[in-house]
Amino acid sequence: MTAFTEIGFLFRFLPAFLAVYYLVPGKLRGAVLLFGSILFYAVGEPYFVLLLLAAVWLNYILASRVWHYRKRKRRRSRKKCITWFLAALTVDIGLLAAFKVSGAFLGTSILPLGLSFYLFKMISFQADIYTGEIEELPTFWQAAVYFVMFPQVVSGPIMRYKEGKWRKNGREYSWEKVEEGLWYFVTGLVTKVLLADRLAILWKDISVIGYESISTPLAWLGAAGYSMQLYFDFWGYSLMASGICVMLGMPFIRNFDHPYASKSIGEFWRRWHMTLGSFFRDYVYIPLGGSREGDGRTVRNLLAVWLLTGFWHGGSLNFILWGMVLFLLITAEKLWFGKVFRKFPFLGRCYVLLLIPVTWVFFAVTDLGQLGIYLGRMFPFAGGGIAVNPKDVVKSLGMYGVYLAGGAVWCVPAVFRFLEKHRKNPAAVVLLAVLFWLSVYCLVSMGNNPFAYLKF
Amino acid sequence: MGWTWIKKCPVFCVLAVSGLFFSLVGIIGKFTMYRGYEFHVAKQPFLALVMEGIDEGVAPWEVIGINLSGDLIPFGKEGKGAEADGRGQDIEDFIGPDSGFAAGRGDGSDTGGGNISGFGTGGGNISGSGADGGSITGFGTNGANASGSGTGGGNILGFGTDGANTSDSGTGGSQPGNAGAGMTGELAEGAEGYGFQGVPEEYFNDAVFIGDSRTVGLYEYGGIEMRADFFAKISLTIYDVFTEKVATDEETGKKITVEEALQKKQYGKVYLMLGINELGTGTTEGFLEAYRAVVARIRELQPDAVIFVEGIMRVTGTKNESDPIFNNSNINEKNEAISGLADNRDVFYIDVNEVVCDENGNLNAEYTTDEVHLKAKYYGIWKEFLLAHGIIRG
Repeated sequence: MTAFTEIGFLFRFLPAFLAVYYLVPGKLRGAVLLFGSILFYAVGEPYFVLLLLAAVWLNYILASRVWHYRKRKRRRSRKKCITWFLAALTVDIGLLAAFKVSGAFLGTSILPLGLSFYLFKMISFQADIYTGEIEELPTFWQAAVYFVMFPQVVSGPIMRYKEGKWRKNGREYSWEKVEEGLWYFVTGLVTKVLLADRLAILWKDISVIGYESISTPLAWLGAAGYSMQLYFDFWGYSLMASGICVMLGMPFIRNFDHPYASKSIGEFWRRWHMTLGSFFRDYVYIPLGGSREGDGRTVRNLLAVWLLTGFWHGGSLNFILWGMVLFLLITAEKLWFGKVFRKFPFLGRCYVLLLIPVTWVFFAVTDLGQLGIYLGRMFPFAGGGIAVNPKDVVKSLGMYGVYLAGGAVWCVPAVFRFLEKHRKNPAAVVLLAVLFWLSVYCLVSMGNNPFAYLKF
Repeated sequence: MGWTWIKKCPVFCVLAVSGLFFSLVGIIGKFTMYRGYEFHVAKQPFLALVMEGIDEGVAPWEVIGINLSGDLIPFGKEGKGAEADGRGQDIEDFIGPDSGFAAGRGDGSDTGGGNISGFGTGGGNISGSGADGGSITGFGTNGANASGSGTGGGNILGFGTDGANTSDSGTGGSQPGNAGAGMTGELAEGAEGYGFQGVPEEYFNDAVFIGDSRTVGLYEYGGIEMRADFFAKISLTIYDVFTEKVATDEETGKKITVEEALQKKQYGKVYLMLGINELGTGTTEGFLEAYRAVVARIRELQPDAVIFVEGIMRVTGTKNESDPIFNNSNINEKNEAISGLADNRDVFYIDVNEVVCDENGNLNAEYTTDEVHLKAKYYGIWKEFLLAHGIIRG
């Protein structure tokens, strides 16, 4: 039930939650959200829910210490404030590192659901208390709702405490909001189920063939398909999460801004997983000095950000490599050829669309040997390829061409904006409803019968 | 009030109404048209039944024509099974007396060590003998005064073929076995048996391969697609092999069924590998009947072709241990059934698992990423195996 695409969530938890949420008096809605969220999390993680609650409690205690000493002007208080802040960071970063490192080195992949997301919220909360960005210390219940709210606890977006009017006094309850949120939610569901999940099969097909035996066009098609799959999966999920928030009367948290329409890789990363990017910008890059202290410092700060981004996504070496490739590209853009793309946006677009899929291959293939083979098929300068069927790309295009073409259209910002603007048009409503039930059909037929997914 | 409220949230209203409709259909259907479906109220909402029904070919509006006597049987797996069984019976008349796939078993003479067993098949004075070494199986086959013999070491199957004068595949001494001792089935008089032999690639020039995704892989990566025809499709089963349009009409380019394609062109060899998609449905007996019927129909349409029934390729050890359905004991059970269809006269059983499995009899984990299909570069092993198991008659 902890995934938004589960039938039990779609038709049981969410409607029931919304009904209760809107039927109780306004002042009780915070409590409904808090206990509903704990229930939601506990169903998925009956044991680690205790870790989540402990982290909430500890973070609040530490944050109130930091806040308490920050208010005082004495130098001793200043020191205590720093000490408590460092203690809070140690707890949060330590927890994250402990689970990630044990996963990477011991091979045990026990990562509590949403750990990296809720801990990042906690870190940002601590930092905002420390810097005074959050002026008033929230009540424990407010902080707890912020940390555990079910739309965001599993996969983000990493909303800031001060971001928009999500707290109970600022929430706006209306049919308009419910409708708007539902539109984002359903659009996200359709994006994930009808595009991302279909394209995932193309990527699986390619691994079944074996990377050494794919033709170069198929290697590129696979990279393009994976790029879309990843985007639609995460963007779709983010739309669903933010859609729920809007349905609850909170603001829409934007996590993706049509990244594939970017004109440079740096821009791409400002438009992809935006809440993570801005987290690293505000809590790593800028505190380190940003780009104001000369090129040497800028490069160092970028390196720090991209090393951390790599680690955050996964413990294995390919993620570090992936982060380093992006670091190199973004540094080069910043120092040298960024100007060219600003002058010739078309060139920039082509550059993004060619290079981003290559970087995603680093992200997708966790085994370094296999990664080398895949890249060798994309760039077959050294020849290679065993038992390659040159017609393989024709077959894949036949099977997945519809999804790739649909996906390409769905990457265009204007298409999304058009539908967003005309979302109350009867034709658009009917279309969305049809796509929704089609998605549900796909979810049920695959959920009940996993063999439908695994036909041989 | 009323209408303006609806205008504010059209998506919400449409989804709420359609959701209620599907739920209602699900609840009513639960007692009528979806009655046979597996359903857990605690785990699924009722509308999941409607989606499942659509998957099985039952439209939600059929609920209006509800028939409380329960005549509405979900069309689906059971339906298909029954259909196939019916066909099986029809054709049994044809296959039974005519080809007699079970033949006499000769007592193999034991000229070497271990686990030798000799099979003599055919009529008259057959003698089969296996010879020499570990777990050899010698098949002596054919009619009259012939004696076949198989020899070799290790896990070799030795097939003695064709009359006293020949010893193409088997070598070594032959000793008479007791022909036809206590076996089922009728012995076709004067039947001839043949042994496997190495053949060149030209052998595939008049061959056709029928199968599921594994055979699709052989087509794409086996390197014989220029020579042979392939009627293969993902998720093809023995039940729908004749009804699915998986062949292409060479003249019109239209998609046609395997049955139609086999009527249009005569082949020298027909290779058949089906059965993994069927593992989750029906019994081995039902499967065997369907398989037997398919073989009989192919026999009828292709009277001169050698029919190779291929054992289902196994899955890897990890999948074998974790999957309650797609595991090797289920596959082996089906394979044993399929192997019984061979008469070594014009239907032959071959099992590619001999060359793609590890010492534990599981698909070699190195050969696959999804634990079921060979990676492209390993289809060559399958092809070589087929080339080593040619049958040349006459």
